[in-house]
Amino acid sequence: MKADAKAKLTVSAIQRFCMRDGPGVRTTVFLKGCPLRCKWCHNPETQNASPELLYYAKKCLNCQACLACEQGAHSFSEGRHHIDKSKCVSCFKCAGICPSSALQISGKVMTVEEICSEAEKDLAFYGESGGITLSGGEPLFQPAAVDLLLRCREKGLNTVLDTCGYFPPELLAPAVAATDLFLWDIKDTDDERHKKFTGVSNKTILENLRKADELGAIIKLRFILVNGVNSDERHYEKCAGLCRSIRSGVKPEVIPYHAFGGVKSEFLLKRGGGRSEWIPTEEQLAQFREYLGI
Amino acid sequence: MYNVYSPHIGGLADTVNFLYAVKKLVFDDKLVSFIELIGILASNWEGHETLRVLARNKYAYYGNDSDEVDELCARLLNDFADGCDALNNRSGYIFPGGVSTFGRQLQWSKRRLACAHGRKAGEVLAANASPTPGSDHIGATAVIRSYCKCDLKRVPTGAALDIKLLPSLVKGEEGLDALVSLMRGFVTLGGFFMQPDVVDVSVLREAQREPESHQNLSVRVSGWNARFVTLNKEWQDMIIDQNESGR
Ligand code: SF4
Ligand code: SF4
Repeated sequence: MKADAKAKLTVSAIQRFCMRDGPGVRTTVFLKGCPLRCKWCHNPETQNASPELLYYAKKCLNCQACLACEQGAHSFSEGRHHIDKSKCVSCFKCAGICPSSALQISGKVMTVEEICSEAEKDLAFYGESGGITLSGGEPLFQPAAVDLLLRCREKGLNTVLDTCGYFPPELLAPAVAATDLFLWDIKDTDDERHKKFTGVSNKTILENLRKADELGAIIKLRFILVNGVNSDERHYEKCAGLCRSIRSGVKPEVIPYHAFGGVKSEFLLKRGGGRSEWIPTEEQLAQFREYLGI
Repeated sequence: MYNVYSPHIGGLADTVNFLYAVKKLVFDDKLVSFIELIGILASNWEGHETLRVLARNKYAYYGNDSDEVDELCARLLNDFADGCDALNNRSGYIFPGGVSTFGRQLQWSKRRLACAHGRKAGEVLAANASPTPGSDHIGATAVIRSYCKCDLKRVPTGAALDIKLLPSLVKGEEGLDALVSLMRGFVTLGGFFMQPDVVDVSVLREAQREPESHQNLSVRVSGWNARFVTLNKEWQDMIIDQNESGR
């Protein structure tokens, strides 16, 4: 299969010099769009597939230039800036005008080739192991992500795919063929809870995982630990079983919930926020890791 | 036998950024005329806060791996080296040039006037051949790439690049890998004088107090990243806590 270098993707952000998204120094591309709605999402600005307005209140100068909005979404009363997001039609005129970058756009449409060139800028730093990581959102929510993986492969870049596992099964084979390492996030082995906290069943995810393994994918499982949600031994036990069932045998990882996603909800002018009671304790982390043998 | 006299310049990034800001504000975006801009700078941006913030925020200055401004830097350094070369053999001396401030940027700041890249009089400007404080937004590899676009062989007595890294980035095995990768990339790209510096958690506290000069400080947790100064106090405290506990 050959990559379509002109295929377009909506990118939330590209971060260079990332050390924790796979082996070595990496450039991480956050793609927009996700089929899940995890209540603990730490990158809520990537959930929605289309570009959207971000507002950093601390940067606002109250200069009122954004009153130029034709929809009347911005207003000022008693020196306070108020934004009515329900009026916003995402024309991004205000983000272009705002002098302080208080208003920004999350979501830029780029071609596969453009994204590749961004990642190639840090070639000198990748060494043997580094390269590109696709994250999000769910990268495969935009099928052209497969073209991006392929194109990176053609250019000799090491490829990592950070996935929630929920995507159309037909993308699996081409994705496996173009990916050096999967970071496969497992939220919950209990399907009822999975539905309650992420909005979807875990069946597709586990089925895709099994098939990916059969196709010979190298998979690192990453278990999200949320205190009071999936912090029970039954779940730990099942996760250990999942690890045993994966043939590539890459050491799994436990990712403790952190409340930082909440702050991004603020920038999206959404309510919500981090829940400190969800942060797991050191004991819970240790116990889970013991079950996994890590 | 020969004698060596090595002229060094300071304020490289600021000179480049100043010129670039004039290009953008006056010639490309036509937001203000040159004469007006000079007047505004003479009065230290008084009454032009919006324009100042725009000048400071909207453009990618030296240190962000943006060719348009980096080319200006490479050119300026070349011109300086040409000037040095022209002095060679005068009274039996050679004049190999360099770039350094080595802390004197603090002393100099008191007499600094306002700059077109949104800086007010008295602000501390760039150290050595590093970017203007707070103007690099992409990270260490981009800073190195900007710097290495200069022909560094032409400043043989050194143009030091300071790289500041947060403790959370360099801890453990992974952290060691990060440092090694940075240095290897640096040398591959033609650099030969880098000073990596692991900043203290106190820098985060300082950024809480003075957000303006720490716009570039970005904090990372696996798969998550944010500009520190855009967070409210509660979140900032959490991050300080995380860096302190070394988790
Ligand atoms: S993006 Fe457009 S519609 Fe939305 S607030 Fe800005 S100017 Fe108004
Ligand atoms: S244009 Fe930007 S800085 Fe000015 S009031 Fe609107 S958000 Fe604030």
